[in-house]
Amino acid sequence: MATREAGKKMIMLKSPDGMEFEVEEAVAMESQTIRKMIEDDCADTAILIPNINSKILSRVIEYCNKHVPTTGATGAAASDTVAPAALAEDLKIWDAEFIKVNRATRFDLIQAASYLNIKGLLDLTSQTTIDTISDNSLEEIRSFLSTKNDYLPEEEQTIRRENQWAFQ
Amino acid sequence: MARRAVVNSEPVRFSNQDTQQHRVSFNCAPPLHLELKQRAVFSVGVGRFAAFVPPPWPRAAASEAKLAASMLGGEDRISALPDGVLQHVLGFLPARDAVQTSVLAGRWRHAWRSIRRLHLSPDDGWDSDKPEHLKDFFDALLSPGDHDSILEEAKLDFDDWSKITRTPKLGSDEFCPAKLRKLEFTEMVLEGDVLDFASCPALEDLKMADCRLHLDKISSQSVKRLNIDSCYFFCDCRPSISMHSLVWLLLDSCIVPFLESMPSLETAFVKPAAYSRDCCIRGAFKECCGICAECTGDGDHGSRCVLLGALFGRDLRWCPTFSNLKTLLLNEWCVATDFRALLCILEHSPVLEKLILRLSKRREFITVLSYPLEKLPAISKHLNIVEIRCGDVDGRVCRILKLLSRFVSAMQINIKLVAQLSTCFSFETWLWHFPANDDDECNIIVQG
Repeated sequence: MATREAGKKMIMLKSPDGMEFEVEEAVAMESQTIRKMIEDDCADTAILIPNINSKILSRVIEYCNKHVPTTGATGAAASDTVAPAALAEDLKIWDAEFIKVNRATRFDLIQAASYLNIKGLLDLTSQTTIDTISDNSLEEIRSFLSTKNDYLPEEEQTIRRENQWAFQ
Repeated sequence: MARRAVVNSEPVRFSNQDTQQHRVSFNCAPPLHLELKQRAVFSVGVGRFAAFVPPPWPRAAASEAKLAASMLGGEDRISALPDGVLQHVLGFLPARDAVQTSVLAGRWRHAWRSIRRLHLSPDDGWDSDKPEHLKDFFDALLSPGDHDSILEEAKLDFDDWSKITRTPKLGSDEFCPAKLRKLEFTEMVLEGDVLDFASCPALEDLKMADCRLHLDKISSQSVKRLNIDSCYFFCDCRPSISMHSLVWLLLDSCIVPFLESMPSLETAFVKPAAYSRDCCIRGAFKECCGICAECTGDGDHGSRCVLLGALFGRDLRWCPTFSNLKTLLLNEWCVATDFRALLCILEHSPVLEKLILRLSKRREFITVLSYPLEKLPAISKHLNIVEIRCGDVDGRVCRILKLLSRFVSAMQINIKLVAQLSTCFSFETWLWHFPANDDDECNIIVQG
């Protein structure tokens, strides 16, 4: 990781494959899971992040680094509801680039975002996943999800009738 | 520190540095575009139904999935996702597609009911001639029984919601999942008591854009962030907003509503619509609305700045002490409703020497001076120059004179008549039309 300004509290994150990442506390706390650990004083030395390999963890940290709220000149954190439009647009473009990964990596990121409870990253990965399947027909999605149609024909008809509007 | 302060059209900010930031900004200049930073735009949500607990994916099926997925150009691992994540992912499907997953297989039958986010829009193919479709959808989505709804975020984007759905009624038990946190309406017609969120205990974010509101009350005990953008209220009264937990408020290009108590408010952005007057419509017709705090039934409150008064009154509680301030220029916002703002600032400027008031030529806004003498605050003993710049000397100026003459000798008050002044009360107007220099002014010294 890049050198940080002095005075900022750093946190060590360890992946199961032995890599260590030193990140600013504020960046790490983009993860609600880690935030809770820090707030509960369970994060003295290093935090082991199970199930997330170093490759994925480094990408997650990259995401958090980009999305950590900027600090205003007054020292007060930017309001959690207001982002200048330009900044939001910049983040959007950055996100679009960030998520250009292969499917396996994307699913790893979904799971990492879920475990670490990083809402923005979870939404980004979920949306991207849905974008890849939503244009397919039911039959394609069925095979994509490896799901066999186990309905009897009349059962399927009933379900279609129940939500008729969606199948017209 | 500050030896001279200019408080006019810039956002007005007072902050209590020790405890809580409290900021109210009025800025009519270039519209500030705000976006909720939580980038996940309000979107889909769904209810959790016990029936949907996807069993572990069979190994054989998983290998088929790999095969099938490889045919589609990649490895599918949706199957490996935990239930909660799968529900989250499904929430990004348009409602129509989500419902269609019910025919994939038996275990998917109720899955769409378990998404956490919901985005309904005309693009979903709703037939406006068949309102029962939407009703059926909501019935299935939110039907009570052994299912606890986990719907967290909903975005509703219908140009005529009320036509499509008489039921379920928004805000009622029918459409108020216990976990609903965010709700966004776009281009919708909302009427009746649909915005009474008494049964949405978790609702924190409420956003409305380009909506037509046939109602006179929006209320929630839990909403913290309220964003009303370019909405038109159709009501014969001043619409009221009752949100005691509100922390953040944006009112852009709307009629200015009546705000009930908001003790937690920290940030507000208010830009009234150009045609909107900050007054009670009924009051303007000399009726009693029964809502406005100062409504007396005599129509007197018709021309008051109800919203401005409410916000300033709240803001001034946090007024810091300007311990080095010697020269102060204020424009008329400080006397927009009454003298509380002016008095508060004077009280908190202990070494002030010179006070300049710039007042636009405009219709009457100031209420009758209601400060009993004994309640007037102590102000700077050093104040010896007061200047009032105005278009003409009217009742308002006279009342200001009357007030200020209790602090300084009338000989020390100098009134300057300025020829070119705006006629409309607006910070924006001040920005554009206030003369850069006071060339055209003439001076009147008020004789005691």
